[in-house]
Amino acid sequence: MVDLAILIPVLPALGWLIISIFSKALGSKGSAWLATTLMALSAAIAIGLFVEISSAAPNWKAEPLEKLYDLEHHKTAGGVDHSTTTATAGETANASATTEAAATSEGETAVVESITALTDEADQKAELLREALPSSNRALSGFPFVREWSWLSIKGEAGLPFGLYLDQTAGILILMVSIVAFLIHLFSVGYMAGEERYPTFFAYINLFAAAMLAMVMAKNLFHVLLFWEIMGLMSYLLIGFFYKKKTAQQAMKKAFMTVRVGDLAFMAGLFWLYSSFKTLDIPTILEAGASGELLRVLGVTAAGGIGLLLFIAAMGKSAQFPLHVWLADAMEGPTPVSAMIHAATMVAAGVYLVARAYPILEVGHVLPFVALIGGFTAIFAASMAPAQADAKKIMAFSTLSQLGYMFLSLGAFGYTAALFHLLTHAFFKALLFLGSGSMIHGSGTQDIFEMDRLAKYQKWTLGTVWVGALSLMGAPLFAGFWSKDEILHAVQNAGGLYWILWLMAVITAILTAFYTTRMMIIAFYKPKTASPWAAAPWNNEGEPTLNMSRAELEDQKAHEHGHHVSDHPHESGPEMIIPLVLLATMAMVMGFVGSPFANSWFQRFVYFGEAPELVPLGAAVPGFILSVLLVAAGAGASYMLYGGARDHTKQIAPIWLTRLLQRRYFIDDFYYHGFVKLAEDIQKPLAWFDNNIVDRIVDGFGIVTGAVGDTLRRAQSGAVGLYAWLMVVGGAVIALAFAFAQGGNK
Amino acid sequence: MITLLILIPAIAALIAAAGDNKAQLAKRVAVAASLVCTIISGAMYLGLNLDGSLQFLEKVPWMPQVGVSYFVALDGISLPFVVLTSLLTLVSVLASWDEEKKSFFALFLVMQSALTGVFASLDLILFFVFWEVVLIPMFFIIGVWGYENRRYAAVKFVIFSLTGSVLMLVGILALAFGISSSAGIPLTFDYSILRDHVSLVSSLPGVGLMFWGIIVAFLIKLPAFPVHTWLPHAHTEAPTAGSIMLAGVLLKMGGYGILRFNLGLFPQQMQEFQVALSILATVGVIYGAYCAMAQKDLKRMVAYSSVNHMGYVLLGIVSLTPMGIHGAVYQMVAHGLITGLMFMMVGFLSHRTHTREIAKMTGMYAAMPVLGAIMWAAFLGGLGLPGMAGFIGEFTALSGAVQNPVTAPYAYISLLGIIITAGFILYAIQRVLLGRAPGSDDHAHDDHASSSSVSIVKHNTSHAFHDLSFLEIAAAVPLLVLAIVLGMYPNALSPWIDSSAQVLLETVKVVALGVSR
Repeated sequence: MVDLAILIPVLPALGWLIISIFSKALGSKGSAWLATTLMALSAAIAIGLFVEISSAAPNWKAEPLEKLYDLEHHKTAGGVDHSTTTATAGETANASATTEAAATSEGETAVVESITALTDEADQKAELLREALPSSNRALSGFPFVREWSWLSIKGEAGLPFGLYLDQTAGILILMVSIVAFLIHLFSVGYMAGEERYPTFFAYINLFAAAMLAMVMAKNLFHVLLFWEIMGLMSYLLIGFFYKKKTAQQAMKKAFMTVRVGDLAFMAGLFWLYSSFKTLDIPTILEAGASGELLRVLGVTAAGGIGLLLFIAAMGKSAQFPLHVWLADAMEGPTPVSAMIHAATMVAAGVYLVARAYPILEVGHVLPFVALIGGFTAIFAASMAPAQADAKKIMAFSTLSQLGYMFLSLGAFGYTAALFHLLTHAFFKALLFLGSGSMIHGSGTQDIFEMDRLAKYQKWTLGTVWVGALSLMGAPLFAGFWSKDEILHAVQNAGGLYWILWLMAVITAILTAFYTTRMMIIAFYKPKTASPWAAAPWNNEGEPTLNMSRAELEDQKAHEHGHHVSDHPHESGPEMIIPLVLLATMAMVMGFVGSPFANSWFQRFVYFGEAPELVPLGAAVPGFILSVLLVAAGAGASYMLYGGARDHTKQIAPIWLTRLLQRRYFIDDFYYHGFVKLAEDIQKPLAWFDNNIVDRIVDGFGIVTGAVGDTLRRAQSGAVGLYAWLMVVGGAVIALAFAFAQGGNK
Repeated sequence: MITLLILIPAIAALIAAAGDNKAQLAKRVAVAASLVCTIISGAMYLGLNLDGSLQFLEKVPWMPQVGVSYFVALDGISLPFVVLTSLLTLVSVLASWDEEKKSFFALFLVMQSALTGVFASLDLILFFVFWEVVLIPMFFIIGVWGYENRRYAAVKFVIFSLTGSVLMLVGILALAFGISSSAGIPLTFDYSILRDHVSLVSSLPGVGLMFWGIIVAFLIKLPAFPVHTWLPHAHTEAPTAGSIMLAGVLLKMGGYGILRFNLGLFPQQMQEFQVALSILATVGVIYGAYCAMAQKDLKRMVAYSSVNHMGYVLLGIVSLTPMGIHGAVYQMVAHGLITGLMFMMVGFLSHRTHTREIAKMTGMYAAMPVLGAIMWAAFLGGLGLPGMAGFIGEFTALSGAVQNPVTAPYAYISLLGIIITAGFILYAIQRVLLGRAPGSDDHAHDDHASSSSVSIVKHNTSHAFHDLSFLEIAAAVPLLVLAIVLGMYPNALSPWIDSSAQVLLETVKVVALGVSR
């Protein structure tokens, strides 16, 4: 299966190629089904590959291993009695550096080897334990799987070979991306039907999926960048899928430029890394991080600088403050499909990058900054969601907020929790977006106030979206609950000033429950009303986040007669409901892989360095209670304000606050006036300078030639003569030179 | 073999010039000749031995009394440009199929012949002769077939080039005389012999002036700030095919010349003036990008973007690292393909819209999907998008520059150019390509269209603009495909470049050691 791994990205990429060239011959349906079939094949291989990875990966925290670690700890602690049966993460962290190094790179076998260096007694015990280790608990030789080809080779340098690196992190992501992408394809077959550029759409999402899959499998950070940017391109093209609309044009450009700021940092980081570490190979970096070589070679400053640059790249892609501005506007793309790319999969690339570069960030002490940005974005984005009327924008802000959680967790040393949340979030956010797509499809509007008691008409959508909503809120037993709980746990354990971030995360959880419930109540249970802010005074300002005036917006509206509100809300067809049901199922069960019910399988599978502390069932109870309280607080407040027979259009917050939130704290305006305008103001004088100063100076510099030219133009009626004349002069110079040379030779 | 590559287009030019008045024969001969040359040079490319040596050597004494010989050979640095020359001539001819003057095609063939000579000559005088010959056809192409301001642009182009040429000639002569007298050998312009005595170069009197004399000619051609101002005029006024050749190959003469002659013969000076050249390169990157942003003329915008792209080339070369030189050559090839394609598409577009002004065009993608899509791809390639060749070039050029502590700060500053480029290219795409097709009633629509698709009336706009013809597509596709192939699989070019770059850099090390001793 590992040899087939390359097909996982190649198949959908092939789909893009075939559809781009032969879309006419294939026809609309043919293109769509070709794309979907190829994606299904790719997902099937991905599942097979995942099974192979999970069976080859070391099974961390199996009982004999626990004892080995205990023994090791016992030895290094100098005989301090610690004979508890379960070693905690904190204790194993004290184990010697060599053990950590070996553990990361080679799994248990290496641990066993290092133990043989201990005293005889410990040696014997270790020997016994080693024999007791069931083979299934050890990493198979050759794990993580690697395949490598020469790609760009420079003699005497590492160059840029192309390789696949398939470890646990990659395995999880391949599985998640390919399945979610397949479901997007399936949903789109029905949802996009009747669109003018239907085949193009499938070509785009095919290539998008290919790039994302190739990125998570890449062995070299350079190829992460390469596929990262191809993905950025597809995101740009999909946001601008309705390219005739000015809003879409502005949004696509804004997204590309904002993410480009991050990409610049990515490149700078890679340059710095390559020039000081001489390679961009991911496994080498991971190993060097574990062995301490990374610190020795790079030093704290360089590692900090590189780590910071890579994190800025992640901030751009994952839309973290202050580069968050593009994501909400990216909702100009077709719902829910490109929206989902901007929610479930692509934006996760930033989290993935930070996870891949984790040793560098750790060595460079960038992690607290990551946590700070993540924690701030989480609460910052969540605060804007309650002031939105557009279902997609609400979801967009919740995406920002949830991604903030993931970075918070990464920054708080909660590597496993972050990736766990990445996984569960992908499924429940995909569900929520496809669900809101179904809502929009059925009601013909994106405005939750205009949706007319959808609960009456859309039974399936209602049920599945509730599953997604509960999962997003972190209601117990739903997927989001388990992963959010892990994150809170990780932040709590980080100690120090992290309690502030923990508090922010808790408030965010309340806010999340609040705005999610608000959306559910208004969209599904309330009769249709005008948006309470339709007549708000600041609406005359147009759309400053997209730099569009009111007049331009109205002009666009005038051309949009496709904007037709269905008189009869209706349920969507089966091709849309089936993916919803599948995702809802996964949003319910996916959390259990990381729960005590599954013996924390996920935590034992994906980890950095060593697995985190496993929470036994009993210890999960406080988290359980806390979650219930948080959800109850948020959802309850929401119900008190909007639920029952209350007037949901009443202006609750002070008007200035609503304006502040709807204007997104005026950050977009600030960027526009601070940077975009500045760039525009610089270019004009520079161009003038080029035309009138540089050009003149150079003309003056060649004044002799110029004067000759001018004279000639007058005297010899044309430049042809000039050239001939100059050629004669040139020839004469050469002839003279030869004569001179011959003279010299004599 | 190389002589064949020079002679085929030259003979074809004669046949074309002697042909019928409607140029029916001329264009067919031109296509045949450039196609044959593309195939031959392509075969040579595949057959090149990657040990960095000079191959396909041909050496015939020409003026033995002054040490001038007909000496041509190719290696991994020059061969890609020879292939590019033939290929771009082919697509240029295809792209100007409507042209009815036979001399137009004859001039392109002359230019192809001369350009092949420039990249293959290893005798300094022979190089100079070919270098000068290239000017003639380009002068006429701009001056006769150009737009409104063609005369001014053509003269400006020639004056700039000739100024450089004179300085270069003086530099070449001084170098050859200097070496022959200081090494005590008979006067020679043979590159290989001069290179054997490269360690003497630094001790020659006035070596700095020689270096600058030669490099100025190349910097003008590249073009580097501040001697770039001929380029916007020449590019804007030149006919489409002329712009393709100008951007695709003529600019590369500059970069190639710096590598072959300045780095090859003056390695010590190259290091000495590293900072000055890096500053020129960085200014070119940032300044070129900003000037491009301010342009109202689409063609002029693309022209200024060349100043930006060539800045990376110069920076890669002066880094004096294998990675940097690799990036420089890769970027030049990529630029030849992508900017060639950009000019071709802008040409096709302005041919249809009768304007080059960005503000006057809109909705071109909706009006002409094929042209729009290829132009879109070319523009994205121009902003250095991964997956296309330009990204590999820019990335490796800059990462090479970062490895050398002297050039590293300039490389980091130059990164800013990438975002400015993105700014103006996206702006141009939005203004020109996106939006509703002009004159159409086609309504913009959003997602809800899926529930109301019946109500959308598709208006046929094809009568207003005709999309690309088969021949035009045939001209564009090779460039697009190669740009993507080189973007996805650099090993199709990297080993070629690297083999020769390593040889060039060995001299730098040898000379540096020799001096420190």
